[in-house]
Amino acid sequence: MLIQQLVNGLVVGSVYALVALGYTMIYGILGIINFAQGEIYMFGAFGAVLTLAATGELGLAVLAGISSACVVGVILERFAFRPLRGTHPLIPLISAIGASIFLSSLALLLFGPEDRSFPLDFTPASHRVFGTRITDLQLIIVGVSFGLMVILTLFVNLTKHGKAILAVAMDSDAARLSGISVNLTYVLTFLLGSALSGAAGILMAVYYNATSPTMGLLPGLKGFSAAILGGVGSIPGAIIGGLVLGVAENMGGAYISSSFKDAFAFIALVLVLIIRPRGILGSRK
Amino acid sequence: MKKVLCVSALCIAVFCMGITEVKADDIKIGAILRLSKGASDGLPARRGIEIAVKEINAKGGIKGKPVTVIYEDSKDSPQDAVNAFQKLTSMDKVQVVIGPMTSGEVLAVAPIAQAGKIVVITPTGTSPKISDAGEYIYRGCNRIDKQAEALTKFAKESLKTTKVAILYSNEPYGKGCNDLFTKFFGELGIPVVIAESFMVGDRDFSSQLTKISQAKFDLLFIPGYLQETAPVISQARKMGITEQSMGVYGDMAPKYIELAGKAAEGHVNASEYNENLATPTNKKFKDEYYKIVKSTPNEPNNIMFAAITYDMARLVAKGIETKGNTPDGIRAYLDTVKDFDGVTGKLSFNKTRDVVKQGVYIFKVKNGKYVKAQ
Repeated sequence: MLIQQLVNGLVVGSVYALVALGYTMIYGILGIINFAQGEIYMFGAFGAVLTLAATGELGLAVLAGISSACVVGVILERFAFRPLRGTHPLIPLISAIGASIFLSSLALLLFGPEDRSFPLDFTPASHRVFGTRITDLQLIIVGVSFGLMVILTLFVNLTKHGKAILAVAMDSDAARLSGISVNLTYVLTFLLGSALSGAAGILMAVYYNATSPTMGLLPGLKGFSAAILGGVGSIPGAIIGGLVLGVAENMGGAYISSSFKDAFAFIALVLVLIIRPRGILGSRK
Repeated sequence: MKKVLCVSALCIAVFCMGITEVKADDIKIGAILRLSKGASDGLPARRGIEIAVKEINAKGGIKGKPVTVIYEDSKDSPQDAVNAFQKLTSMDKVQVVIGPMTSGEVLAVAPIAQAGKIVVITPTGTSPKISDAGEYIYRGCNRIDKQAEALTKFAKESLKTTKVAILYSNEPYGKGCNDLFTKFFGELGIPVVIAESFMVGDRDFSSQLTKISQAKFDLLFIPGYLQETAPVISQARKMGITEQSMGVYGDMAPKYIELAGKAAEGHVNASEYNENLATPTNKKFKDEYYKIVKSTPNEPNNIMFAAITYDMARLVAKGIETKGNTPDGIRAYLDTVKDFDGVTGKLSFNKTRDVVKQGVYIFKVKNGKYVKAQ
């Protein structure tokens, strides 16, 4: 039972971590919290679900889901954040909240209020490991999430464009002086963050089997909490934060009360903020 | 210039009159339905009334007067239902209202209806409290305890259930079901070994389902609304919970099977309506309803809700025709009607103004279709 709940926590936690990575990357480079991250997640899920329903091609659907998340992210960067660069940090924050409300209303208008099921109906095989039931789907979700995290870490640390992101995050003026295109780096960051959130949306559309315009709200908040928990701006921090949050809410739900499951995630956040305000891996800035 | 203004004002006034005008001698009936939130139940309910009214008006209305129904949205909130009720009775001067659809809304509207002496007929409010809400409040479906009695009996006799797990929706309806079904199962000697809950809007049920999967049971009962109950069963099956599942009225909907997919197979739930009832009235209604479904493929459809409101609208019309368009006339008719030829059964009302029909139907999902099990 304990291990089983731990597994459940790790599965949702790895998805929270993907959303948290979006938050943390954008914060790291721009110093803003993009509250529309949950809506990007939702558009990713819808892109995949609608394409799969229309064509029946899983690969195409995943591609469409991630691309629609990326498109939404890049449009946000261009129209909701770039015009506000250099203003008081509260202003892009308000803009992000506005964008989030706009996007979820737009989805309500485009897709309707009803839940949609994932068009691929299957019952995944399950394995028993030391008395714990683990399904193929759970393995896939955790595998894909960690795969993406590894790719992101390698990309940021080893490639030229990745290093440019780190450079802009450290000091955007110095980066510009050394010949890095700062605008392009911003777009790239939004592209990466959105792709990760979109992927998270697709994974959850399969796992929960319910896609709806409001599905992004809670994962968005939890991703945000996970980013803060791990130390906002830190990539490994976001991953750890997501996993801790997922496990905390499942344990709370299992051993205290399942009606307050969501509350436990936020209680964990408040506790960390009181005990260690900069987050688990946050740097002293 | 003044002239032009006057003329245009007059034009607008006439135009507006044309829109809102309902002829004074029309017979007006009010309806408060779930038209925005919960539209998957409310829109079919509206279609049921429309079919009934179309039939009545095609035959020349009630004593030569056409019937008009004024629809209001309850927005799933008791306050909005009360506002809609005030509007219908004070502005439109209706004598009878079909709706509201949820028990909470009915109980909020009931005292005002009692004070104003207006007849209220809820098509789908299942709370036992509605029976005591007053002599103007009627009900067109079985009470929840009738449903509980039928389902628990079916579980014992046909499914041979010995131990039950309950996963309920944590709001008045789901909680009420949990208490009531636990009591009924207890009376049959079937213990409830575990009861867990989820919140409206939840989409992740893994921690509850993990707890449930550790218990030994042979029936998983999931009372709630299909927006949650469908993903619950689909996640339960994905987690390897293979036990028989059972639900309440809310699961009797094409949307449930659409959302749950293969996981819905074998699911048992209760219903108010049997599509295959072999009466000419039912055949006519069914044809008419499916014609509408075909012409509006994007609208949520659910023939059970349409069937109940279709019966209620016809009962009201018959009451107005035989005893006059006054609340007491309609009451006099409803209190005495015997074996009315409805599509949901042969209808009468008992002393607490609850409909009496042949009982609760039980359906089982087979190959993506609801098949009558009892």
